[in-house]
Amino acid sequence: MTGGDPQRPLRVLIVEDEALIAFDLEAQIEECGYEVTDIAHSVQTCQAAARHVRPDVALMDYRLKNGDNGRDAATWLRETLGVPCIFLSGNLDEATRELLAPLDPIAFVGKPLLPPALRAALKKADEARLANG
Amino acid sequence: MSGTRTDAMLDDWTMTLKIGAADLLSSLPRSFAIIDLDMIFLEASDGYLELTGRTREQLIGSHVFERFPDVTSDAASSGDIVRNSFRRVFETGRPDKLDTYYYPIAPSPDDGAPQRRWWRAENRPVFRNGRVVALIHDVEDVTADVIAQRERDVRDRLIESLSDVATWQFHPQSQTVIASAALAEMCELDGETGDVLVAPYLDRVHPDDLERVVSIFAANANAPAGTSVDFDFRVVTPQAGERWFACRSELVRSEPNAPAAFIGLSIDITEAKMREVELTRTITERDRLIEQKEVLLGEVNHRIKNSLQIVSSILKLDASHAHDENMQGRLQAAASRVQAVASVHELIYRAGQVDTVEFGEYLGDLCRAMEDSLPLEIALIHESVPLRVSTDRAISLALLVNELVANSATHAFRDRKDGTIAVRAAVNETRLELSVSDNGDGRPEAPGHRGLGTRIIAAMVSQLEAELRQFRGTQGGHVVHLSVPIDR
Repeated sequence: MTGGDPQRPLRVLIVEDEALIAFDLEAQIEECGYEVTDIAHSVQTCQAAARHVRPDVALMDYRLKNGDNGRDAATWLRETLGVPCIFLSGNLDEATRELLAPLDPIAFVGKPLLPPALRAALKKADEARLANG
Repeated sequence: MSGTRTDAMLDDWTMTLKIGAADLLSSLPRSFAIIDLDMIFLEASDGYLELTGRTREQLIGSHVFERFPDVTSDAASSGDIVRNSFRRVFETGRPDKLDTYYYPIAPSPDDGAPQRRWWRAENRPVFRNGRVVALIHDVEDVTADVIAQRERDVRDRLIESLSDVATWQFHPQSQTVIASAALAEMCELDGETGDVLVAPYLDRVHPDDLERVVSIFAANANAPAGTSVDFDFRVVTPQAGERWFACRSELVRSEPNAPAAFIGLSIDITEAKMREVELTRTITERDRLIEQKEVLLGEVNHRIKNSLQIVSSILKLDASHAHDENMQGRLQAAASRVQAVASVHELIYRAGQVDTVEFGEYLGDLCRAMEDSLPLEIALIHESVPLRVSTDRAISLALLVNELVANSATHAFRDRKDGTIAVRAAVNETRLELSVSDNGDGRPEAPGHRGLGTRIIAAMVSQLEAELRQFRGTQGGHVVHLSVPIDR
């Protein structure tokens, strides 16, 4: 029920292992008027952050440090909390996109990150949240 | 009868020479015994005694088959063979030959265990007054010959059983070879089997290998029997073309001083050789590709470094054109951060190694680049140690050092113009100990002000899993100490 509240801004969890890129994403998200719940850099920190504050959407890097995989984090978010993802990655091939399709991602956004693409994806996530509410 | 004449002659000799018949018999250079009709030893020559390991006293007057009991258990036993021969002589009055037969005897009367012995014998009658009264058992020990022959037989049978293997026996002296059918087939030499001249076979050897093959046999001509002679060479035949043969052979001699012969077999190893050639080619190609990849990676890093350099330059240009002092400072800080990342790529390009960089070298480069952008009055000194770190961590460290130096430069010397900033790196067992210290007037506090520099420092410390401590230096000034785990 809380998901559909139009009075509060969209809540976004950033899962990105490169700290400076995460800062950049945070600045862009806040500029759009949305809220960043936390920055996670691994599957484990993603789970902890999402349990603490449930996001409406996660901005998910596909390749994480120490061999962690964004797909594992996204699967957990989807199955445990029903949170969808926007996938971020420089080079996602067709096979990988097909592999991620069952997770019903909101969008795939390439790197380097173009602000309009990110804005469009976040807008789509916000609309989906309000529609489901 | 010849027997009568022999007796008469013996009598004549002994009378003339005044020596006894027994003395004469014992000295004859043969091994024989005289045995009477009851198969009792009457006399034995020295040779016979030597051959059987017995003394005259032990034999004379005793029964042949009691002295040398038959220990074989066959139906047609060795004892019967000898006994029957004796009987034939006594009954017919004719000499009887015994071809090689087996009859084990104990080496001496005290040593009971009979040993394997083979013999050849001729039993001749001794006549007196036209009647057979005894026989001469003339015997030869052929044990050594029999054993040698058996070994030859085993070898021959083995060669025969390997009929579909290309076997051969090469006799360099006669330039002949005993070739198996399989060898002839392999060499496409129909009919050149059995004992044939070696020339047609040598004609099949690749011209470039012929001299080597011939010299291998020549070099081993005087080697001891049993010497292994192994070699590979190429064969060229009309049908199959060029192929590789592996030869495994052994030097043999029919007698100790006989000329060397080589008995061996040949295997077609063309496929294995081809794989070897193919493998060598693949490895060469792989090495070339790896080299090419390294060149390309170097090129990529060079371009990344150039591009980052351009970005840094753009920011510096912007800074110099900014009228607002605050804006100028921020653009310069941004230029310096980009420069810090660029310096890592510069190093990768120079060192030609992508996954790790030499930290000591890199820290020096970074400090020299930063000193250029600091005010002239501020000196930047550095001490470092050789240490390789991963490229990812090098970038984090570059940004961290850049921020810490920039912090000192901005905040430490507010009330004076000159100062020194020192960057020191040391390595203990598992950690890199890195400090940035200054001789300024104290720590610039920034309460509540979470500037980008502070956030970058926090993020990099966390990313490196480092520990950060700040304290006042023993001679004043501010020290930031970082302890970073080394990824070994």
